[in-house]
Amino acid sequence: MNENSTIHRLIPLACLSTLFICLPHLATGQVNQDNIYDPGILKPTDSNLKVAIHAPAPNFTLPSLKGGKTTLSQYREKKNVVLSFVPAAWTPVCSAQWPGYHLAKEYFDETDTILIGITVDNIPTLHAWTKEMGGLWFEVLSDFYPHGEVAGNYGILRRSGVSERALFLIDKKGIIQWIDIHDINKRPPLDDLVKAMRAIKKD
Amino acid sequence: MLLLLSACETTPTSQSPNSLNSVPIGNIPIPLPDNPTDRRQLGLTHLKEAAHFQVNQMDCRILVVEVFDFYCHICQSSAENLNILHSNLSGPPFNAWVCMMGIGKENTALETDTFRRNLQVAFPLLPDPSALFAQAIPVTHTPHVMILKKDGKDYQIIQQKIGYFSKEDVDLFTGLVLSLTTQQME
Repeated sequence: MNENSTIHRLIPLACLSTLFICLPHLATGQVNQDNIYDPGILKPTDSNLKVAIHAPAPNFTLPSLKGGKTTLSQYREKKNVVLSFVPAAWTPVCSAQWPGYHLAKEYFDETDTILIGITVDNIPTLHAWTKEMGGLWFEVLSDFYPHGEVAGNYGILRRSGVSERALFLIDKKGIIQWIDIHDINKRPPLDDLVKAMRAIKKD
Repeated sequence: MLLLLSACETTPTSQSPNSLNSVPIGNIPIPLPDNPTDRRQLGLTHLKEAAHFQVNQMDCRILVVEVFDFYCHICQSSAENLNILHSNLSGPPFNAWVCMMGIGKENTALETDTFRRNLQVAFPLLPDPSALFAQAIPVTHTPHVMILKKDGKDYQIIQQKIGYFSKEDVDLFTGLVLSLTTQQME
């Protein structure tokens, strides 16, 4: 295609666009920002960890967003497991962490690891929240009742009743190999998690 | 249409600044891509061994920049339309004047590379882990797509869209860049 034909093809767009240059405007979009509750800046961590690297991961059974219940030990000898605790649905940082993991499936597959997301929210809330994210490939569990029991067993239940923003990497023997109790106000970088998963694969 | 999460920090607006805003982005260091195709797209073939480049080293009079976030769902869902925009702006008469790039706000290289690979983004995506570029604009919400025109040492924002980048935005931005390109050719 030569330059002249390209220009002729695009002239209508250019004319329309000239109007936009001259006339500032607002356009409606797809986002309803009102759906997100911003709790402000919180104390970075607010709990006392009860588990440790090289110690067994406490087992648990929780309701799954996909239906039924999931037990951690069902992955024993089968898969490494990453537990991603996020404090609460419909909050800014949490809503921006799992969509990243949605794009990172290749790293979990590469290291024979599954990802399990956990919050203290109930299933209907998690349903609406993850649906608004556009869906997630990984399993999401509800630690709603007894409230935050699993988070409490791991020592990451904050006094406010939400969990820390925490990542646990558990190997196929059920042993914790890596922990990141992150500043609740910040997202953990993907790099650290990928590095930990690749390290466990080499062992 | 699903409502999308404002976790992507979105306030959906498409606007021309009331006055042309000059933004101090010219001297911000950005990692120089290894890929020769990316360097060509960014007008940086004259740089050889540098680890970083600066925007004012790009051989482009018009810049189209998407500030995005790997973790932003709306950035992910906007990727297809931004690829269409990039396709529209590839080839003559644009390629002599226009460069398009993505800047990953607070993202690492691993995160921007993962975003690009998974969403098959056709234009260079570069990490901005300290958000230097984003702060200079300033970018508070992602995605934030803008057309910038070089004006001496400075760059002026001609048009910007904050939030989901739609097919209508593709048409608008394509037309605007064409207008600007035509002005440059005259």
